[in-house]
Amino acid sequence: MTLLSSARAQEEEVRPEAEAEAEPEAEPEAEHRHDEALEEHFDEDEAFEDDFELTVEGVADATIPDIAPSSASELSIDPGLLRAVPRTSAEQLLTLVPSVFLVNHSGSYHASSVYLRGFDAGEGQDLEVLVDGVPMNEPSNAHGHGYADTHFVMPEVVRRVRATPGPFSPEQSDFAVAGTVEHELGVVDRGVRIGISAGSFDSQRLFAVIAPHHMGEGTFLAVDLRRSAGFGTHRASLSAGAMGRLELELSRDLTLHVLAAGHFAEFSSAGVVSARDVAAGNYGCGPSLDEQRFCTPDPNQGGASARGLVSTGLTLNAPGSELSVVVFGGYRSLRIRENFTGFLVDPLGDGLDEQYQVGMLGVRGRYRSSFTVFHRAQVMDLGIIVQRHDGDSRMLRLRRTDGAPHSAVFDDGIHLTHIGAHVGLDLSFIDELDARIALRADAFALSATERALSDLDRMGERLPEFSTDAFGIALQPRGTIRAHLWREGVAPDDGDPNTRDVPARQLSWTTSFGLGTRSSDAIALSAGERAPFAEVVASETGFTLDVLEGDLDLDARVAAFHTYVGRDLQFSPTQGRNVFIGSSSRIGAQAYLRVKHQQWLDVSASFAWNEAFILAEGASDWVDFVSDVRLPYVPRWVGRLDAAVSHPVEILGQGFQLGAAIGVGWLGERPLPLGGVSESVVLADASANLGWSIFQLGVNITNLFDARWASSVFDYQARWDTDLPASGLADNHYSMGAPFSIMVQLAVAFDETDPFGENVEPEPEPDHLHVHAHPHLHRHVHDGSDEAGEPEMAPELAPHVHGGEASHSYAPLDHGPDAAPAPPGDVLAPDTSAPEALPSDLPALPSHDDPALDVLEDGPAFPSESPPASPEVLP
Amino acid sequence: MNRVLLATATFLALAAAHGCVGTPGRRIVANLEVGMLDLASATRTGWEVDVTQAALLVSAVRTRDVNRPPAVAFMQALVLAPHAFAHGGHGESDTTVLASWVGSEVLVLGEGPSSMVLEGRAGTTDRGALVLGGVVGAGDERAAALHGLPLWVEGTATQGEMVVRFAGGIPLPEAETERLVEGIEMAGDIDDGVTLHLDIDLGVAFDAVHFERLVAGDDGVAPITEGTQAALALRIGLGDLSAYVATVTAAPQPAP
Repeated sequence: MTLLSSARAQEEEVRPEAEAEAEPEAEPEAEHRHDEALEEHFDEDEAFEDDFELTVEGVADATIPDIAPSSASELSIDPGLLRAVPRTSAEQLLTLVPSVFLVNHSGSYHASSVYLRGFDAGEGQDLEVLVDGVPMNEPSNAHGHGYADTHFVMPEVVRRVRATPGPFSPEQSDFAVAGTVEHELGVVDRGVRIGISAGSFDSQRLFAVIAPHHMGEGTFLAVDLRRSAGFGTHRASLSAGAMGRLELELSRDLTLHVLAAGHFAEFSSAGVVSARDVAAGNYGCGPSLDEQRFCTPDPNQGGASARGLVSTGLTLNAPGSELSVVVFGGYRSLRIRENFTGFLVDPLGDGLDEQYQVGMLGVRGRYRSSFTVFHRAQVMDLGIIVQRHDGDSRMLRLRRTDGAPHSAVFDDGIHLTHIGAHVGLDLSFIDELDARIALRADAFALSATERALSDLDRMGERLPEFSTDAFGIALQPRGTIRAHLWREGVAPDDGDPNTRDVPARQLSWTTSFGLGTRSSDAIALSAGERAPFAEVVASETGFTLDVLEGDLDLDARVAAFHTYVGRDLQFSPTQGRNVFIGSSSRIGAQAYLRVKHQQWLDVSASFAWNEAFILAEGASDWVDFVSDVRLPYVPRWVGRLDAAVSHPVEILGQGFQLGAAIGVGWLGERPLPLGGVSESVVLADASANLGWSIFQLGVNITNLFDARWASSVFDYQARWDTDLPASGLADNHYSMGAPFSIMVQLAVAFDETDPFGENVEPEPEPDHLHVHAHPHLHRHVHDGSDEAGEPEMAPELAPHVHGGEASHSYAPLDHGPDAAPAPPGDVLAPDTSAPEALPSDLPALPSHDDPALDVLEDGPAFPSESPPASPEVLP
Repeated sequence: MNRVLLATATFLALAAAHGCVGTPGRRIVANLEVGMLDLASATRTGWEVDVTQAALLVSAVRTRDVNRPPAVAFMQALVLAPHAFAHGGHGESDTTVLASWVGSEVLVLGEGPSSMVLEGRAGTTDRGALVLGGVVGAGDERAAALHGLPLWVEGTATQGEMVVRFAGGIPLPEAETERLVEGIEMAGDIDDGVTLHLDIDLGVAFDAVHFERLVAGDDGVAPITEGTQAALALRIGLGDLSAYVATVTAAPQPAP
């Protein structure tokens, strides 16, 4: 949230509802806001009744309710302290989402395959991926339909990870089969941070994040340079990326953001190895088992990617409505070389050169408007998405000896148009129950021109190309009903004006149902064919418990789900394409717990149980939950534990910040064809951090116990020895997961306006002043689904609510147990988020002698553009 | 709330009941014995053939699943299935193959059958395939019997008063499809421990050889070389399915 938003939030919260309703469009003078806040506060205190006159204005009630979660398992996760758990890329932040486990069968900058809720979602085939509102899935990508690569996003600039499982939300669009994940961009820790890291496998990284203090979290510049020799054979990589984002409040109600990003990467890949060849020692990397496992059957594997992306968005908040529009465009180039089957298909070699060069342009828009029925606010929700992809997607087969292309599998020009829209109603007629009903429509116009055909057929000579067009429309009703079983207390405010009061303790039961779809691969279609969608029917029910009690912030949830997929596809290496496996079904359950204590402890744990079945032939009813045939490759159990601590200590009179974190992931057995299973895996990562002054020293260890594990596991027919015929049988193949590695990182982090902390001015920061006259405090309306990413008040400083009345106390708005904490070692400057730092911000209770009041009476500037207090300038 | 608990319990019970379900099929390891016979002695060309020495290189034996899709359905699947071209990895293999052995084995007449390991999945087979030729395994002492060719034969052919001593071999094409003998009758259940016996009757391979066209050398032995009618007939004769006899023997029962 920008500073302007913060300022407005305060203004709105200090305004009594009655007056707000009477003057919903009143615009308070910015210069008087601070005074007004205090005046209202003192108005409730008889001791100061004569000293202040209360004038409160605002538009608090003109805002519309936040978007309610679409399911019990929907999460918006602020990584918080858990950023300290070693994660080298933004996509690895997805492991904070319950049931997610990432595996990779190619090089460092190949998008990971995602296991999620009983799906092997591939690199995006079954998972809608968004970055800052921009769809990342690449339809008809030669490497895989829906391939979604987020390596251009630095983990440091991901403010929040939003996970929306299942096609339950009306906004969820193409590829949202297992769900949707979004990286929301922003930098919580303001200032300049420059770091370098080096470690195992000759890996180095240089990065810089510039997040000006006087601007909001949505504004930053970042650059990231990396290189590594990689573990094992043929895994070197190199990348460079830069990203800039600017968020401006053009006016009180209008916010603009602009995002620009560029990235390129080149990487080698060892691909997969055959378990049979490893056991026989057939690879030429050395005789030991490790040398065999980390070897490669074909050194001509790897890839290169490049991306340019621009997006801009406007958000207009008018009384009772909200309109947001994001326009995006970019160019994407991806080339991946891989060889899964050796010489099975062609004696010259089966290596594939998959190329994708596509330009993309699109717009997403959403309009929400509130209206009243039976004296209760209801919300109408409308949205659209339009996307256009134009470019080339082709696959060449490579000669094993020198990597030269010897034939074209396909060479297509693709022209894809996707138009989607939704209309929904968020209804609430009683306090204990609310519901959403929505209808979504997605329409696809797919056109492909194949250019690698023969120039001669039975009828004679012809041009070696053929164009196909296919169209289709899918209608998808969706709905959610939520019962509030228990609500108690009022959660502190998050400072967001667009949120409603949320209980401090609440238990809800949410049940969701929805239909979804996945578009077809344009290259797969025949001319004039009605685009055959994958039909998805999903349902879920679950409970969410959210408790904000003193220093403790707890978010717990448990949910059971079922997903039916009609016309499911599975890849057949021998046929070189996805083939129908009929209908499939997933059932499962998952549990999630996030506990945060003050600002020094953060623990997240999740456990998921998934069962995936291929339904019997002829079964096409979505109520067929199970069958006697299990779907291979989908892990039955996935678990994850992340824990981090960070605490200031004093050693020899010097202030240090110590931090440590650990992340443990458990991937259960994965069923393989013919009744086999892959071994389960437990991986542990750990980090330790020390901060002093502007310096930060960290050690990150991944795969702490140096486990040998198979990342991607496959079972298919291959022929690696040209001297022998193909067996016709599937053999186990796998790509090795990364072994133990250690990286040491040194960084400097400072306030760019005061690098050495010399400009200490006892200037009161109105943005940290929060006066609660209204008993209703605010927090995100997501019923706990929102992790605390927005600054909140420290609970021990929050008003004590008794019978709907707030006692007289002040609380800083920007920091609290839910506030996104500084990374370990980042509290070298005074930390105003800590409760003890609060007096530097404001006195605990005002008095006539209070110097802060003197300042206020002198009429301190309170412009909405005022920067938030930087820790260094506080007295 | 009771209804919620009941529904949850039902859901969990339903799922737990299917928790032990696996993917279809089961891997097996069976035995394969391949030997060479000289049973047929009379050819359709009127010769009595007595093979005294023979060696044959084989590189694969496959059994086909009796439940394989009909050829028409298989072709329809090939044509009608969408070409999604996702990257490799997932999926089944050639589902028509039930079990197979792949390697390099030199069969020598008179030395008894060679024993190999047959791997695959449990099921019923009705026919199979043999891949002739290939590359001789390094260090295989029996390779000498091949004289550098995938098939070497020596013997005597008699027709009335005419006696032809012959010796020679034939090369085979490099393409596997041209060395493949497909459709060998192999009826039986393939499972752990069973033994598939495959006997190759070389006498059948001589069925169309006109020995009178061979020209004897100075040593009185007529060489069979590439380009001769005998070589061509031998090559064709190796594809005669009647030259291959396969039986499946159940696994021995464990002692009580």
